[in-house]
Amino acid sequence: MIYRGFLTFVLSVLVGASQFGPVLKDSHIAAPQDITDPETQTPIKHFVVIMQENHTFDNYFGTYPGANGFPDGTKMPVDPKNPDAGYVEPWHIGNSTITDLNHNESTFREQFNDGKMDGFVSALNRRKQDGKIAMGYYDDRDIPYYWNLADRYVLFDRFFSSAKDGSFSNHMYWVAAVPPRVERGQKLSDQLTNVPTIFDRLQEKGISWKFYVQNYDPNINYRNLGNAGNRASQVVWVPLLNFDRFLDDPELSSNIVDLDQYYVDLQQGTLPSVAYIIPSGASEHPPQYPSSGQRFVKTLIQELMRSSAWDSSAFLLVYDDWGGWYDHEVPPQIDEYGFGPRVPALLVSPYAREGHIDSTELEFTSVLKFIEENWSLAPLAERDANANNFLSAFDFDQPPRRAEFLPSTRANNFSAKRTSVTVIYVAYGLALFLSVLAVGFFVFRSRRLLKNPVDKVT
Amino acid sequence: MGLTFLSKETSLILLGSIYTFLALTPEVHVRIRDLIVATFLMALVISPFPISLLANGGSSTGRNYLVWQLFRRANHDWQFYLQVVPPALGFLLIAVAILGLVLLWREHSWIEKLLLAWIIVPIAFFQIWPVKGFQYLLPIAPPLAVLAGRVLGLLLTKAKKLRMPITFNNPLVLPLVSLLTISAIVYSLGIASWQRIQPETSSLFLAGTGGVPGGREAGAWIKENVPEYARFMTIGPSMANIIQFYGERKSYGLSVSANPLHRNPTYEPILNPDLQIRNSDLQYLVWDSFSAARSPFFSDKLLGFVNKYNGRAIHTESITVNDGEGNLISKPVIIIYEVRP
Repeated sequence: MIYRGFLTFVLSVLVGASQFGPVLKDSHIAAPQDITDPETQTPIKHFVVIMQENHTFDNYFGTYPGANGFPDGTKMPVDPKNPDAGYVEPWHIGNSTITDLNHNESTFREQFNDGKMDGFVSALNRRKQDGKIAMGYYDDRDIPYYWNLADRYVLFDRFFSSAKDGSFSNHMYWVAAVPPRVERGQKLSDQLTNVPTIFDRLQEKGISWKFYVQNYDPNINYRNLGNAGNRASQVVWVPLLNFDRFLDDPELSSNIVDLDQYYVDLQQGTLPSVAYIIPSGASEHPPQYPSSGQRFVKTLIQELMRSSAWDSSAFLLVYDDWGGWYDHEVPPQIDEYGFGPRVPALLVSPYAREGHIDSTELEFTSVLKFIEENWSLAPLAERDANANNFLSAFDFDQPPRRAEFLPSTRANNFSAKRTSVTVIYVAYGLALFLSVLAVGFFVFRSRRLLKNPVDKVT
Repeated sequence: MGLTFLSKETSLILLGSIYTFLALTPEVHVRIRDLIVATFLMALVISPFPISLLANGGSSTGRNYLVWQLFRRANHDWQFYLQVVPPALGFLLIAVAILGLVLLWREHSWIEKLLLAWIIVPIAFFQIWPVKGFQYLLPIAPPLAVLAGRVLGLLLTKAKKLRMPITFNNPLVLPLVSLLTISAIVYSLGIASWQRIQPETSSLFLAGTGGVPGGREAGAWIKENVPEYARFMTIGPSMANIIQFYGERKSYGLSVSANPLHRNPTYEPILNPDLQIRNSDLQYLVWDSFSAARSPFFSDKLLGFVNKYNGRAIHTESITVNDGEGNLISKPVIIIYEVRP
């Protein structure tokens, strides 16, 4: 829930004061250098990652065949302390109305219930919301394109949100491997001065990067939220807009651009090595239906596929937090901040394994891990240093796969009907052979009759 | 007849020619047994057609197609064949063939009746049928040629009787005539065939005469360079068919009516193309000069989508044409645009 997360964030800025998660001691903010594209450890020269909003793995892929989805007999008690209060089973949402479910840290604590994972309905009921909604799920009737991607590329079924909290914490992990904790009496921006991000690392090494923001308004950042209204989410979803250096240093701020630039870069062959994307209207954040976000992601992927960058690219789709939805998998508690519940995650790449379900334990700092290992960068904090990479989702021994424009339907055969030429050649060849045989027979017979008229008489 | 059918299904109409011939020629006796054997053989030779359709996912569309073709509105006016067929066959050939009919009719030979039935029945049927295509009257070319040839033979015979100097007894005439005949055949068949398999050099195009200029090349480019399962929209169904066949990508003609009463049932209409582009379900638009000339309205409509959805020309097929002042210029005949919402 971005607004609640955002409010928490704003309050923390106003109240001031807290601390960051553990940052590695050798991390520092580097001076910008000339941008070139250096060597990589894998064939991936362009990494694109988009963070959508507020869904769990079970909410999107709980019924996906072969994945770690709803266990048989899943049912959630309405009140974990009172079995007589009844249960809610997973139900297909379809076109039913949904709401933005509460998903702050305290809600998580109740839903998590010390690992029993039985408070998803009751925690929301207690907050005057319809807890039954948490057990709703989508399937290929609602998100056919995502399911098609899973069929053809890689679906991760153990990708956890980094923080058991809302949007801002998880977005911070996504770029800096630490949560946004400020000490009393201090401003967040002051705290962030010494927090390195992956973009600092990239800039330091002269590796190109961009942060593409749908409907980007350069005038909205942490300093002038007063008139931002609903657009304030831009500051939550683009954590860099809370860093003074990313606002004031043109070498850095010029890399935060509107999403239109993504399409221009693809067309002109200037896609950077690392591209972060955040949505605006098409974020899939409830109460939105997933369809508009799915269309948005589809366009992003298709444009990448028809660009010159495709053959050396990887596109990762992740969701920032669980949004209050049910997920059956118990998130490992590796530190005081996380993990939060699993989120959907899909990898699309010409080197992606085909129709592969990857069960490596991952989180948002795994994104950083991949970037750091691929471009030989130092880790930012303990989280990314210890995170798993998702290299197991790739097969770099295979030649790059051809781009596929997967459809928005679940039709089995969505390509143009291809002619079975062999059947035609064989059938028509036999017909020709038969015709020659028949004509030959009748010519032979006619000649024999002409030579031996007696035969004709008899 | 079986092989004729395999080359073009509408040639089944020649059964009418055979019936007409047999009905008008009582001196030719046909035994029932021979008819049965011939019909069986014909069915056997025709069988690859339905087998190929079934093997490639054919359905009942074919039946709908036939019904629709029988009752659809005419695609050309009644003068179409008069305008396009005589120049294609050659006025001289037609004149000589008609002369042959006049001269040879008095011989009461079955040959002329056969040739005449072979010519008249297809002409009558396709003139009445609302669907007119240049290729439908191609079968009348052989009987016309034979008729004309018989006239030449008749003239040679007459010349011989009149002891004119043009006679085969002359040792120079026979080789000369043979050489001329072979040369004419090589020229008319060999050159024409070679030209047919070369890329088109004219931006003019007559339905049923072969490919759309640049169509095959555009399809091959699409097959090599466009992502799998990409979907195309063209101005009309002709180019859509070409892209599906050569490019192996799903393609829709913008001009194909969504109303089943107003479209060929083998064509798939595109419902709300604007929405499909916005949903990224249609990714490429193709403009071609042939369809644009036939349907300026849909050409403008398609280019409107190109402008609206960030269209970018990614491939152009051009042909070299004469600009009318003797200069050879490169003229775009097919332009492939990529679009995105």
